Amino acid sequence: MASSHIDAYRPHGSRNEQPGVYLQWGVIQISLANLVVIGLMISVFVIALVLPFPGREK
Amino acid sequence: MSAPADERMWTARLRRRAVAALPPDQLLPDRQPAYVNSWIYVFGVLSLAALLVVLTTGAVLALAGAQWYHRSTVGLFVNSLHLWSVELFFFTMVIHLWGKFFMAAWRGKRALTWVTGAVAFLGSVATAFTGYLVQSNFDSQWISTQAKDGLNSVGVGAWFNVLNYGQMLLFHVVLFPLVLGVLVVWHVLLVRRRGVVPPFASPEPAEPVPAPVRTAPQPSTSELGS
Repeated sequence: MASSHIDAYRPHGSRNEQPGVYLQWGVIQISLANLVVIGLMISVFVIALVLPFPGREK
Repeated sequence: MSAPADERMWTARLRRRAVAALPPDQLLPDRQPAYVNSWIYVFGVLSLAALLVVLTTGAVLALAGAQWYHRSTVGLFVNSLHLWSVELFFFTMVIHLWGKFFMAAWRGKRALTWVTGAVAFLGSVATAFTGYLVQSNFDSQWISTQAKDGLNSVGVGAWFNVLNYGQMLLFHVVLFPLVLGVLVVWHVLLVRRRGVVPPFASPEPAEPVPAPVRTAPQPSTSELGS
């Protein structure tokens, strides 16, 4: 693998206003925004499994 | 009571087949099985709610036109509602997909339910993709030129051109929503017909009406996953 560290950088000219923040780990590259959304989805999925549904104990 | 001749009419035969295929008490049941009493089961209907906002705001955008949604403040607001409801739609749909995958929701003659859901997901990706192509900004220009190379590399570039704005706009507002609409309605009808898949430890509920929510035994949430 080319590099094993997570490296953040900002590409130029791909967005209208502010360029996005991208994370790179070897050949894997993902925007910070997408990574946050994926993290949120996993969190909501786990919470949905463990959080009791209202009225469940009745 | 209708005459025997009436019973042979195509309308009567079609009605009998429709009622047999989709019994009204299954389409709109009064009760759900006890195992549905979990948050993981709400993400399908959340996806539907988000899709309803997507379709409604999309219809408003189509009726009012690009001048309105690019230049007026209300138009920009509705445009943003359209975008963010799509984000919410995918957010909830992916969690719905994960939940159903780990439940093996294709069990109990539900293969077609799973397949229509999976194809609807792919159709949603295509619909969202064409939506990003018709934003009329540098983002859409970047996305279309990148996608063009990717799609040509797998040999589907002969069928459509992602750089063709008019074609992509019509795909986005007519063709794909129609296909997606049919798939989603089909998927929901199959869910109602076959019922919600039970957790691994729970038996299939008896047709047509499962046990009431408040009196049936409660399985633990650990039975839902993996």
